Amino acid sequence: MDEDPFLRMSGVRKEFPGVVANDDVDFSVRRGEIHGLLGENGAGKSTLMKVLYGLYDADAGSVHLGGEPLDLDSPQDAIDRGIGMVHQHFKLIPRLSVAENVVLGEREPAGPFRERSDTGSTTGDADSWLPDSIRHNRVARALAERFTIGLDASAAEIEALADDYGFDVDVRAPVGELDVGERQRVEILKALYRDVDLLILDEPTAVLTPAEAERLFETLRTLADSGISIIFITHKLAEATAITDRVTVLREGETVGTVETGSVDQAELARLMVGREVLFSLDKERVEPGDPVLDASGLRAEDDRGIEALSGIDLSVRAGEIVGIAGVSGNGQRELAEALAGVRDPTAGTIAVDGRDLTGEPTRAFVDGGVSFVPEDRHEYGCAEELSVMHNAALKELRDDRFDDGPFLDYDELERYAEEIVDEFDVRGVHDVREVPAGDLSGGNLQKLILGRELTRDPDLLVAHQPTRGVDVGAIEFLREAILDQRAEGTGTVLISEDLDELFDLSDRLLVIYEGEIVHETTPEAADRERVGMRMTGGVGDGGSAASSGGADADAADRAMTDGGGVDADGDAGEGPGGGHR
Amino acid sequence: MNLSVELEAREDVPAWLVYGTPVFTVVGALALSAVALVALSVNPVAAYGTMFVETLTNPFGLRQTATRTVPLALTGLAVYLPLRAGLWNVGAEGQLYMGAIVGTWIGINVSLPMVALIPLAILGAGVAGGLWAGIPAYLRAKWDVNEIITTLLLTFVAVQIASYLVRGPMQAPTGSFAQTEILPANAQLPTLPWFNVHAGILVALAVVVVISLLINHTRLGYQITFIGANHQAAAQAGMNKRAVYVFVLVVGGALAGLAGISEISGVQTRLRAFFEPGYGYTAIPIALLGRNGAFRVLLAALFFAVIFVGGSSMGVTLGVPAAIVDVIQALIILFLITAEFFKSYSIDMTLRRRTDRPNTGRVGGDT
Repeated sequence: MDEDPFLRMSGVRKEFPGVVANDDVDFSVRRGEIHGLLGENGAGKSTLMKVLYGLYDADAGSVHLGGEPLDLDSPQDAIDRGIGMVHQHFKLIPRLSVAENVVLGEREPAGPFRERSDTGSTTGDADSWLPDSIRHNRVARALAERFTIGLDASAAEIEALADDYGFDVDVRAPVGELDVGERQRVEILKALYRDVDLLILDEPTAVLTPAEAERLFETLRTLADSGISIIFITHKLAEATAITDRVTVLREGETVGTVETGSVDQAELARLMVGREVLFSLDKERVEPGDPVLDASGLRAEDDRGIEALSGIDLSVRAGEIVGIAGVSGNGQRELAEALAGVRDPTAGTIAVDGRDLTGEPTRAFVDGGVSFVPEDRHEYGCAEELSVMHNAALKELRDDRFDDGPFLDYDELERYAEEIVDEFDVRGVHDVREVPAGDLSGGNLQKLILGRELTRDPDLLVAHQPTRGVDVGAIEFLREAILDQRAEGTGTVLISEDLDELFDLSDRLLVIYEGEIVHETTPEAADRERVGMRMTGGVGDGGSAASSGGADADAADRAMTDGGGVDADGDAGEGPGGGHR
Repeated sequence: MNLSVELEAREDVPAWLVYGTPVFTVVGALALSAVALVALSVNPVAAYGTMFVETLTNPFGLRQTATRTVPLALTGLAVYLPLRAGLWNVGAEGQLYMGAIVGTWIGINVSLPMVALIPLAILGAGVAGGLWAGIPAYLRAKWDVNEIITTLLLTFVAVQIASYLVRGPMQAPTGSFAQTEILPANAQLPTLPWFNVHAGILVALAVVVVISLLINHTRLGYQITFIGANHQAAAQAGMNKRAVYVFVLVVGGALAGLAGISEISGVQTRLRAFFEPGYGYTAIPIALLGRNGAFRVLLAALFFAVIFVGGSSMGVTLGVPAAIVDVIQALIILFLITAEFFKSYSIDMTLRRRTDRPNTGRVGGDT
């Protein structure tokens, strides 16, 4: 299809014991384009990129970069050939400064040995006390690169680089003090510093707020305009259509096709990706909310560092109601979820579930009192990866009488219970619940297992924190429907998410959390997305402080807000007491 | 030329490897030790014949092996149980000492008929070992103090306490040796009639069964396992991590205490200043090898008992220096533990000749 693509991977095959991760995959990228690589979890995106980045050896197939064959043994080789990768989990050292992180791994020799003087750096040649003959000697340089390290390297140089691309990063600040979006820019900076022609981004927006993602997209545009080719791995359709020039879709290890982004819509992409039609609009039946199942008032809590993260939250959820909490990550969502689940002790305020005051009670009282919890990080908090599916499935119901077998635990019953959840929640990849460790499940299937575990016990209150984050489209659909089904059963749900689509689709009421407080309340029907987005980032509605809007736009937003405010107030009136509007 | 080594975690460990590894590694360790034996002009075949075949065929060797297995299995479990919950009890030796001290004191100072005295001594020893381990357990549960450090350091304290007692308050009035009196006959574990091994072996076997049931068939065992696998997820499910930590360490300490009294009352008959059995340390590799189940701990303990007994009989019959016997034992342990690594990772080494590569800016070769 392409006459002379910058990168061409053809017939790539990579097999792991029992799995063909890539089967005859063709993939090509033009110079200066943003190319989306789209596919469900387990479709083979990461494997393909690891082959490209020198982390895996392909079993078959060839890779050409700039017309020359590419044979890589390690990421170092890839970097040497101008390929950079920004991983989903950043590889940065928090204590070092931005500049130090950028230089790290480059084997930049210590100051006196440095040769580089191209970008007007203030260190380097000028203050070296070593004679040129030594500095330019190959052996001496090789030794210096290997055994000295110049962490002091030209902050100025990196600053210049950052300015070139419009990165707003303080290169002298320790990385530990930066927020996620800034850290990502440091990762990109790292790649740019190494003169990449091809930049791979592995699900870069997974950790970003919508505003930060927007900003990333701008950056990527700039990079592409300067001639850098970008591979953008994602399983979010909206992103694929928003940012890419072309998209290649992988399914079950095979290339489904490459399309010009402009020529397709999201539904078409979803069909390519999943292989069937995907319902984007969920069937949400009308459920009459019942009695309050959760009453939290004046809730305050601290984060792990002892800094106040929740500053007085009032929240009430009724049976059969889903209350969505929107917000940018790090505004107290985690602390709120944990406090409601009884995992984190609040410093003030009360929590009552089903009318029973559980404030200060141990976690166990919450679990036994009918609270289910889907934590944000399924690997770290949601399961024990090395233990079997059975062990993980029964976690919350362990104390139930049905598992009694005299003084012992009835493992046969545990097994049946786990099999029920596996069947009902369509957890795939489990041939034997006793044998398969939870950690072997893919993200989506593990999440189905966890949600299944939490819902099968028919809880009064479900606290779900990012229940669909990082899972593929098919699983997202399933998980959302399961949450809606449970709503019809009369479970009250607190749904904390950063995905506005999810919140709008599922919630009955929508709250916005910002810096530990509920700053806005509305309903999906009455809400204006832009305004919700602005509230999430701390915009309050007076034109002056409206985030990132020009004067005219701010006025428009302001007007919309005033109008919307009336609707909200009406909406609130019907919701009964305990709503968190402030 | 470039040697590239690839290390990959195995997805499944093939069955032949699971059962073959211990055999290969023991053979490998013995082959390496044979070099040392040959250097001392000892025929390795004869030496190993003595070490294993004779030990396992003559009644004396078998009895010795069984006797050694008792404290090794008990201390092995003392490490195994906390390990299931993710804690390292490296101070089983100290808990064993405390059990030996208290058990000995009860045996000497309490006059009761045997049927009451021995259970009392065992109980006392268990409580002493449990309390000794209770100190690190409390510190861990309450303040998150690292139990590896506290259990280990408390061992030295326990050894010094014993050393003081046998020279002071508990020293035998007759003679000036640093030791206690001999336990009266009704405080010594009886020898099993048909087997000629002291009754401590029954205690050890019973404990293995109980621990196995506890771990594999009770809610508490499930919780211990889950906490060991992911204590954060366990906490979110409402499990009481701190209570479990205290439980496993205290019970572990109690088991080590039982090992102490069974060794004194069944074998040594008195507490000496130079007791230092070392079982509490050997227990760590035993628990590592047997970490998948209490019965495997028993098997591992049996294996180590064979090595110890066989090693010393080799020393006696063939005049191999004791140091060499220690070397052989150490090699076997080292090989076994290393093998665990190879069992979980596959290693792929390829030696390839590089063709001319484009200049990538690297100078100088890897050496």
